Amino acid sequence: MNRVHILRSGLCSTVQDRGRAGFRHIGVPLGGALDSMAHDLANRLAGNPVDAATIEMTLTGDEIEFTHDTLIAITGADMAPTLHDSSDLPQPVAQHCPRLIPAGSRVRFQAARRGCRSYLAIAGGVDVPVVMGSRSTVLRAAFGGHGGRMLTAADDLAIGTPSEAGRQTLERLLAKRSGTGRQVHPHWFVRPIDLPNPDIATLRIVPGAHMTCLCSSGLERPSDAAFRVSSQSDRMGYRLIDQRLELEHREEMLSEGVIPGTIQLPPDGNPILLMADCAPTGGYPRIGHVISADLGIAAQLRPGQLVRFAMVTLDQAQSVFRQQRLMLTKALSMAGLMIHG
Amino acid sequence: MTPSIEPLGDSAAIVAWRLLDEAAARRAIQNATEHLDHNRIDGVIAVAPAFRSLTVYYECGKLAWLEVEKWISDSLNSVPITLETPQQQLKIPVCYDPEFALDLTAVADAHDLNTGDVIRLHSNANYVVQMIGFSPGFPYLAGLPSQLHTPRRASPRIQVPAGSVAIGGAQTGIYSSKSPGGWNIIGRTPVQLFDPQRNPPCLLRSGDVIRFIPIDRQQFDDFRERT
Repeated sequence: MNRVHILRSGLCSTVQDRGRAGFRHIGVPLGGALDSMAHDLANRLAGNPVDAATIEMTLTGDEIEFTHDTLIAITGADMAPTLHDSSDLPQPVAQHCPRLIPAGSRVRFQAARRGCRSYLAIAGGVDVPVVMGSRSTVLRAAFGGHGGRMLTAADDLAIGTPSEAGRQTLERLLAKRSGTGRQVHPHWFVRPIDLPNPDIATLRIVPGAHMTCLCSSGLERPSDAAFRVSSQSDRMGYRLIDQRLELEHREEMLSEGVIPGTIQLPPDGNPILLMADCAPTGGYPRIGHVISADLGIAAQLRPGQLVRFAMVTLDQAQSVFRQQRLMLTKALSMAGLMIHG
Repeated sequence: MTPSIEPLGDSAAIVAWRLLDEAAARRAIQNATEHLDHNRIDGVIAVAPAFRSLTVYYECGKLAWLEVEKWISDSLNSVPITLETPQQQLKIPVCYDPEFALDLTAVADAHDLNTGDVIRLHSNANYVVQMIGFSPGFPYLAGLPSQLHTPRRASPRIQVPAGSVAIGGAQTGIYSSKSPGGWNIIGRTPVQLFDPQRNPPCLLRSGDVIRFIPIDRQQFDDFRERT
């Protein structure tokens, strides 16, 4: 059975898939890859079903050793991955296409040059045990993924059996390599999914239930200002600083449902943007919700990055999402076709 | 009473009974949650109860808001009124030993009681699970005697041990896994409320009735050893 070894760990690397949608009634977060589109695409490029488990790396990636000839794909943030083997100088590893990693070599991910989260799909998927229907790591409750925790140096991960498409692609790339000596990726890649504008990112939002309670003497709309993503930001949520929002009046409210993308306003006035590992309920006023289509951009925001909000209607949000899925389905089937063809 | 149906972002809805009292809202929410969950249409992912509301999660790639709103509203019109949700009655052992009960004295002092009074009051009431939330398996319990209502701590603890039984305002609850928390800790249960490897993973459900049974330190250790 194929395995990979973690030689050096990144800042926060976890095993993720598409999460656990059906357990929020018992307090379990949705979880799963924060940038689900990048995750899906990486899987498809490696010939995997979209719900196979990938490694999500945050800001700084891992160094990983491959014991077998292995097909991989990397999407999301650009962590300048390089391939190292015993002989040559390190070679850059192309992203957004299937890539052969020869047995005994290492892939070294560095600090992200753009974006925040990089996804490594390995043909066959990371084969950690399925817990409550998913392989995703829940860091706060310490279950799922690899021992319920971040990956650390000396971890050893089992890899599942590649799909037929993944196996054929691997064979083809192996044949290419024996012909040319060097070439280990195909002559194509899929168009990368957009990363946030590094100067100031824009997230589209729909109004939250308490947006009309925002103080008219100050910022009336979250879209009036630019916020900075604080360093107190993780898979549960981001603190947004530099601007404070105030409510006309603040009444004690009982906890109600929240979703990834919900922007809550705690008493200190610094909004919290909830991400995939957020609790299913929250007791702070909800001033808006980042639309589903922009959660991937949100996942790629870095601490210190400026972000502003643009208001759209619920109708627009849902139609943008459907268009985006259509584009992704096309990209995924294109990737699938290329893999098969 | 007709609940309100409101969008929660572009992929969920909140159905709320904000004006009903606690017990009436809980019954309405239980019935509606069960009914909606059994009659899910393609694109509806899950239904989860909260305090005075429930949340419906849906795939916005498959369903538009108006379709979801109509489905919820039609379904709510056909909720069987007589539906009795089966509830469990459970006894939860709690050790109020000072080693675990970090805030027991503070709670007693706040109400001019001694610690024995607090334990007696806390373990002499029936509690109803209003909702599971905050963290996996954490039950919010209604029914705390008013003599024990105690505001949350001014600054939350960074780490509350799993099993801690605590008071936050008018509610009591059990930290099902170790987590940060601001409630006043008055004891610890050896019962594991949430275990991802167990099926079902969560011991309690919304609507369950529980009672706390005081145990001493020896019984706590014995229970732990047996399980």
